[in-house]
Amino acid sequence: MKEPVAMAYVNLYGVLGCIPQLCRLDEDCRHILSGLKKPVALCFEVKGGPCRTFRFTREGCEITEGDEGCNAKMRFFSPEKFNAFIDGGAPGMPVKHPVRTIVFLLKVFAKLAERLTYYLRPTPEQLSDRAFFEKNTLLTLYTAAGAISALANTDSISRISAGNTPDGEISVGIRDTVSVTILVKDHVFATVDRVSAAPRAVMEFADIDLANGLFRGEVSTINELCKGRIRLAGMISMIDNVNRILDRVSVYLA
Amino acid sequence: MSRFPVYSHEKSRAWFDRALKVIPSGVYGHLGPSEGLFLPIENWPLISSRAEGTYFWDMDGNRYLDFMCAYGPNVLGYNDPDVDAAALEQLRRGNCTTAPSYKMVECAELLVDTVASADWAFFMKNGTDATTFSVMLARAHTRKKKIFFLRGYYHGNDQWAMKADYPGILPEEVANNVIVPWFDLEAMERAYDEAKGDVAALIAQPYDHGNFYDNRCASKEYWAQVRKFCDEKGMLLIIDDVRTGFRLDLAGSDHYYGFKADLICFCKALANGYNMSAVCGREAYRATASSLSFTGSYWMSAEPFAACIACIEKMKKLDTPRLFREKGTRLTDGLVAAAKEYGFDLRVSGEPALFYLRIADDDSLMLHQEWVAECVARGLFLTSHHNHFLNAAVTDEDIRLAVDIAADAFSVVRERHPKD
Repeated sequence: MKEPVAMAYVNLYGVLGCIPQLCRLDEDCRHILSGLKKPVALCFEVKGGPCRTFRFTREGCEITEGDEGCNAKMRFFSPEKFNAFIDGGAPGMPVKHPVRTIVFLLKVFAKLAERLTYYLRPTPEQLSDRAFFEKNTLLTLYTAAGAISALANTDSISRISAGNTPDGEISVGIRDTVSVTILVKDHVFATVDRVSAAPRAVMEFADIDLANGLFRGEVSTINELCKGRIRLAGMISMIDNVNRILDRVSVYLA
Repeated sequence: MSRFPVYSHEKSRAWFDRALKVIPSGVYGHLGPSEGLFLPIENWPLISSRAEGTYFWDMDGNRYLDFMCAYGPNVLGYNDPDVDAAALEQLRRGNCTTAPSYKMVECAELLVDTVASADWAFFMKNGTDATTFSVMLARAHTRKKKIFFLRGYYHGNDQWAMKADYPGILPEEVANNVIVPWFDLEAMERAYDEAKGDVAALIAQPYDHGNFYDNRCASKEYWAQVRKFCDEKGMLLIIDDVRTGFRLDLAGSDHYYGFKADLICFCKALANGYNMSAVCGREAYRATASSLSFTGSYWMSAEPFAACIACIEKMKKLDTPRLFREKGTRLTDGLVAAAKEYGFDLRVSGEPALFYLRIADDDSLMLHQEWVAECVARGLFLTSHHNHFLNAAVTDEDIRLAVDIAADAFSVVRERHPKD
């Protein structure tokens, strides 16, 4: 069962959470942002749920927690309303610089969201294009990594896994390609887009093809572990718990 | 320069690949690469060809000095001649029969004579059967719902014993589980109040021998307090002695810690590898035990009973708990000294018969995993996450060999990670 509050966190920290990476990886997104006349800091505030600000410049996007410094803001009166918006429903209520907010939402953000959907919901034909395949894999990794922390902090089942995870940094990545870090402190998770200097646990896929196959459920994790193509090291109890949460991620993102 | 050659595993690997085609995970569970944490898998023997005493051989003919003992069942040594002779003799007489063999009665009598808290014995096949039976019995007896567990618990694979975040487990199946910390009676009291007294039992291992962290032994004082708490609240005290049973004390680990369990679960060391488990209980619970609908096709097979009788008699003769304490202490002292020689801080915790190891130089266990992998690659079978086990076939020469291989592995790891 999906819990609306947890879903809202998955949407904001997982799905929309990979917009900075999307803006880095996708030429079209870079082009969209290059047309910005001045920086826009768009906040999504969900009543009874998350609140984050996406700071767009011509160079890209960064996300900060809360609404500090935002110059455009959308308020959603419930997690359900925000989740409906992500599924293509009505936007929330613009509560700060309404005109700027609506214009940015329609003219810029909607286009970025389209590109995100393009990468995260691919057709088999699109995946046969190697460049697309690689971007799809990386963005799926970022989305899943963000969703892991979102669920660890909010989903009632994932909270059990988080409650059994000791403190430290968990490195999740693809060898020689990408690595994200999940920070765990007092059973609260945060995903950050950086390489961990001192991970307490490591889960590393041998290459992009393996990662994609795993994300799409086309290859067996155990088989690949047995082939030595998934490297695990360190506090494996941390990895075990992350994998249990990952199982919940697939429920939420299905 | 390493003094012990690193094994190769081509044939074992080929067998494992065959297994992968017909068995999910190839080897699932704690004996397999995933739960067994074969990191990296290349260093581990995957499939064995034979075993004897404290050694087993893989499909490539590599010999392993084994301090996991099949995760416990090997208590006297693989292929113990006395146990095997008793089992084979019983096979000739009859094994799985319509009327159970008299060996079952003899076996129950022996357990009642041996286990201090036992007035009766009930047989099944695995540790999980024993713990499930005990929890059912506690609920049937008290007519209460909730069960207390101590943090870091493992009581088998039935749904009730798992957690809501495990695949295939429904939250409803574990809704009556209450987890309380070890060594904290006040927390237990609070949990009892929160449960409004609807608590059937506490199920616990005799000490905190969880995975991935230093094991913590209990004290007689702690268990006396817990016993008193359960008595006052009308809760059953179930001791899960599946892992520790007969390795600390032949009269039961509750006896070792100076108290009497209401129900005590045995499995691993019961019959030196022959398949059976048992719950022993106090008189007050005999009638409830009789009332439970709980049985299985092979639960009264006679061969394991014959093996169990021979095994317990031999353990008594050898005084295996004393043996394990002495050998465990000698072995771990040697390992710690070898670690020190190469500048590693190897910590030993838990009871010597079931020692847990951890290199404390980093908190990620990566260094420890590296060392364990180098030990295994040279024929000393250890694990990086779980307590170890001793068996009675371990000789002083085996201990010397273990320390030599361990030292060699330390030298390899030190060469890879020179000290600043």
